[in-house]
Amino acid sequence: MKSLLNNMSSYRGIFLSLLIAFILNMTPLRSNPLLPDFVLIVLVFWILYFPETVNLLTAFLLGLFMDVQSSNLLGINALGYIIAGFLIVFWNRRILSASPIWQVINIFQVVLLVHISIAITMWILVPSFVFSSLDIFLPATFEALLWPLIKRLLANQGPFISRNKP
Amino acid sequence: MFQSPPALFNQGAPLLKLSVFVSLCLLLIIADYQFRATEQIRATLQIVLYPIQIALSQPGKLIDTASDNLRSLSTMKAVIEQQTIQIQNLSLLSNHAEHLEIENANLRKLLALQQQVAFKTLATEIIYKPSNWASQKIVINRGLADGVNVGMPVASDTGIIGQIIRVFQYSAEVSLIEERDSAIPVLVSRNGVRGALFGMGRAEPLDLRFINSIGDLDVGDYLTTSGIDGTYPAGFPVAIITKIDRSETAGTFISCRPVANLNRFRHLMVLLYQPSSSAPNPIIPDSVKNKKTSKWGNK
Repeated sequence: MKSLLNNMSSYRGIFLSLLIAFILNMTPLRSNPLLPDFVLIVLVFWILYFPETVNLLTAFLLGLFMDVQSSNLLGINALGYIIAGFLIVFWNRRILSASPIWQVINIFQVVLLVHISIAITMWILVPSFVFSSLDIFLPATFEALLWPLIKRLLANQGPFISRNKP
Repeated sequence: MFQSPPALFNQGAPLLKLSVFVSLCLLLIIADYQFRATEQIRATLQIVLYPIQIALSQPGKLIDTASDNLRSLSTMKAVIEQQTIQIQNLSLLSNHAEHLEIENANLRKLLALQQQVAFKTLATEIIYKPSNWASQKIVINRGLADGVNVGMPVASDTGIIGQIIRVFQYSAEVSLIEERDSAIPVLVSRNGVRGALFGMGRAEPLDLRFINSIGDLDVGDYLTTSGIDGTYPAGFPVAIITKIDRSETAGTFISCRPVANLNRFRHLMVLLYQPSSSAPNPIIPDSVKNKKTSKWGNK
């Protein structure tokens, strides 16, 4: 996939990576609550490195599509993605200047907050909604652990990022 | 790191943006949950997603056909023979059923009872199961274009598996009977005791409630649709009683399991059943709904 993305211009790379993440999210495996949200982690990457191109509006639209796809309440995933986007923009410098291990921990904080806010919103609104702490912690852990891999895969596409590396 | 100023400053005011988007989300969520007012937005987004969903369901189909092709000729012959015998048996039964149906209709006419509504079935295929662990749904490849409507029951070859809860142009969402707070009016086919079957969530046993004479029930009793609500036609198998918990203090819990395997087959039937009564759907009172029990740390 690295070579596939290598020669793409950045917009096509962004679109393609988000599409692949979305397709991964659509696979039947994801009906298990404990699996990571690939769209969330790819979105976090792009918002972190390209805040001018991928912004809160992208997060909102992607969230809406994810809601329709998973036949969830319309707006619940969008809410989560927007909170993720905001936190990433807010902690931009802190995350970018952190060492790789601290970066994973920072990302863990962000996705954990996303999952908690989604669960709380559902819990307040939907009377029959039940969840366990595992449903929040495990996906967040997997997403944080995916971060180094996602970063390696996406950061190697052309001179776009490497030019800006110190 | 970046030559340009950090994103926090050149994005305008992210806090303002955040509050705008978050309030938009909350508005959508409440409009969707309380008023079901977002079907148009949903249908529009679904138009974009539909080609991807169909494309993604192709590999599974390919594997199915490939495995069919790899089966040897002799097994195929055996299968065909078996199925021919089955069809012969079924057609005999169906002739008999037709005879009984006519007889039944005549008797009903004589007794001036309400006529049973005849209905057609529509074969359909599952496109995918939405990756949403909080609700138990599947998406099928028939929609408004095929005459599918909200509220129609969906069955597999063995029994009722759910009900259509949302239709798009070419697809529809089916809520399975194990969905929390879904309810079906049923009766015990052995003695006609009536009750209501409630879903309790993913892979949990169904809960039979509102039974007057619990003593008449037994493990292994078949529950069929009673047809009282007008949504489900009468007489379709739904579940089997698996366990009766009699306790002095907390009342009796009757656990059941669905007759149809909810997670196995690709092909289903939509019963194109238009309810005969025009009575509005009953509203489930809060006292009956599942209690909000957070399972923090129980798992």
